[in-house]
Amino acid sequence: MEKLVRIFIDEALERILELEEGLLEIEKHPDNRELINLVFRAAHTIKGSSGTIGLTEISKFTHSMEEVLDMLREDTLSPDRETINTLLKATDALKEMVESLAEGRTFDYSRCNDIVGRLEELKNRGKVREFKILFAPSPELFKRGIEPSMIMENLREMGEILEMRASPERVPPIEELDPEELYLGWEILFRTDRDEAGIREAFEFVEDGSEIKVLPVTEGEKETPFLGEMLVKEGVVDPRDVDEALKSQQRLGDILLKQGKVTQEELEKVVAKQRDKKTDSFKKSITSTIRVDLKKLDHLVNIVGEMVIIHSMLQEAINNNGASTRLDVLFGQLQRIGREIQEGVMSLRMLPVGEVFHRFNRLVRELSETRNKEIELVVTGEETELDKGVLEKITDPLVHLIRNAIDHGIEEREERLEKGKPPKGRIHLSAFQMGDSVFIEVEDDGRGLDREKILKKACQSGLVTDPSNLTDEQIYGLIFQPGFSTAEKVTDISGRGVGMDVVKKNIESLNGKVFIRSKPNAGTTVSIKLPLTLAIIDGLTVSVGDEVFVIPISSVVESLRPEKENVKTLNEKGEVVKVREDYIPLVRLHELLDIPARKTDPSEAIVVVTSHEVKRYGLLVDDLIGEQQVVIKNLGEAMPKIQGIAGGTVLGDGRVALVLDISGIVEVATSQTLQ
Amino acid sequence: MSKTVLIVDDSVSMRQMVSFTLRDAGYEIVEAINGRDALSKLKGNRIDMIITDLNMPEMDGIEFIKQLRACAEMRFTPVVMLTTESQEAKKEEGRRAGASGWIVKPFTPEQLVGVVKKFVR
Repeated sequence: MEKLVRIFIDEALERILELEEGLLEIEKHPDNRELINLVFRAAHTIKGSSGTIGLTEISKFTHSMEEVLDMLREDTLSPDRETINTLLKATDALKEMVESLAEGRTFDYSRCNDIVGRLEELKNRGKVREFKILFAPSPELFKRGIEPSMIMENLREMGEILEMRASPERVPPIEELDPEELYLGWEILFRTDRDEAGIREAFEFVEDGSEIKVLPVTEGEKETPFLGEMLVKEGVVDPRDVDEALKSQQRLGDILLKQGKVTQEELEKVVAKQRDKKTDSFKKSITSTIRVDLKKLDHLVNIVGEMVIIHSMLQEAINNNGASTRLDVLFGQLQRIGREIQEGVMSLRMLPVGEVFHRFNRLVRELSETRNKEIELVVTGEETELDKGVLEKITDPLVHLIRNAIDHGIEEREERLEKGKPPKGRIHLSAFQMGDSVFIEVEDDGRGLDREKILKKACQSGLVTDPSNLTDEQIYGLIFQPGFSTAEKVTDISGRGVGMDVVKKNIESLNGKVFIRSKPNAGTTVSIKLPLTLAIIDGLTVSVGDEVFVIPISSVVESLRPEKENVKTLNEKGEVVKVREDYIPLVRLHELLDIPARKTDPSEAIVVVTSHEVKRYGLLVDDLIGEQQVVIKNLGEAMPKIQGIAGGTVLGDGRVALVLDISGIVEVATSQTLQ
Repeated sequence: MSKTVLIVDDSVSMRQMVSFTLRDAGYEIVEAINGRDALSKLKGNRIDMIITDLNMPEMDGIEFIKQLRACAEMRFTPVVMLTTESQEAKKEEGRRAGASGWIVKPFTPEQLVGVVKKFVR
């Protein structure tokens, strides 16, 4: 028995610590179900184990705590300051109980009467719940001798009517008014200790032909009332006065603007900054530390162990001088280990995208509330891994895309119902790996992009002069142009229409690509293609004149030296080269980059066939040097971003080579041919 | 001023039970033995609410409600039917004719007063 009590004390003290820390955390993150569950389980465990070894007083006390915590779990009680305070006090008392047990003192349980009473109060508070009642009575009500006030009286007997608003939605055009029909409906906020069925009893006799909805209001939906609402409630002012006052109220920014204290430009800048601040919490989510799968680390330690062995073997072989064949073998092994270490270390930088994705739940929840839309976020592919650097930089664009989907994509409830869509909007955030790229997609089931509106806007702003030969994809792509926005009103969610161009720029700085697909009334999908890692690529080194360039192997198909008759110049397409049966555009790198070449005749030089978005292009270079892994480095802040150049790298012989960005090269080349 | 309830039922004991209970609760009572009698009693009396049985000779409850609703000054007066569990269809018919509510027999005096209070305050 003694031993059991000992075990109980150890366990209880641990759980009490969990309780205490958990409660403090809940105050900070009241929506974290996991925390509430954890705290509940802690109390539950203490209750159970104290009961088993006959400590009935402790068991009874924790039972009271458990009941209150259960109400937090069921959302029938909000974790406000008072609740948390009471629970913390109870935790302190519990700690004292256990400590006196440990020290063999007797504990005076009557000291806890006050705290038990407060727990009871909390329990009673939780039973009273709020409901939203939507009552659209049968139009015949008056003709049956029933007055709607009768129902309100019935309700008053069951609880408290907090708010009542008549909704005139069913009132017909004035010519069709029948003075004896009841067109009004009512929206009632009701507080009662009854359940839904109990509330419905108030509607006895009127249920037929009427539409009655009784919806429980969860803690999360309750809002602190605005000052205006409270003033009306306290009878200080008339609701009409508040409305008028609100209408005449100006936004701070507008007032300052009128007074000439700020310019529109300055104001917009700060508003944008304010917006950024709001999303700061999402950025902060990625810390500078990294959590690593133990298996990855073990693997790495193993290889390093091997390396140490090879090292000493190598040392010995060199000391022995003669064994040259063995040196060869050893060097080969060292090379393999080097490669494995490189891969291993790179994989340490890989993080599952879920690290970022799960933060968006909160974002969607908050934004959909402010926009009064019901939206569900579905996340798939959280386990997909992405370089930490890429992941950090992708958070911002994703926040923006999700904001856009909520604000412009997903329709309001009524509009969705009219279109026959489920009232709840859906945003699907997914990630998957394909080849050496990772795709992240933000898909909404909203109204889709408005092709005509985009075109109109693009023509107006001079982005497009001839809209006739644009494909859908090209039109949708216009929204990524700087300053483009078709949004009619500025909201605090999506801001002032600056953004999609920034999204594109951010993603391109990661060597990524953005694609957009959209269908009217079915939704929009923005697809982001990202390289698995930024730092290291397999490259094909080529020479042009005195320069060496690196072409990412991922975009190289083959290389060849064409016959003279296979290179032709077509009027509208420029120079082309025949590769097997097809003619593909020939891009002379020396011309494009404006440097002297050693060989300008294609039949003497080399054509590197590269692929870019299903199309193939031939790059004319002097010579192939070889294949090697290169570490891409930024060209530095001082250099502006150059189209067609992804970065630089240092080659084995110490020379610096530029790494080509094929998509950029192709863009430059095609725009030159067009001109 | 106390409110007046008209009770329409061919059963003497039912009329007495209802009258007794409601008088006790402070209402004035006017009695009628069937629909036709009730219509005649409406003249000269200020009636605030009507309680009517459904099965009655000469003019039954449904017909009575219909005629009542056709009469200008009685269109909005609350009418409560006395029904039994087995009269679901009748209840529906009465509701369509313009009945405001119903009390299922047998009922206790408290239930009766409860329903009347809902309609006459």
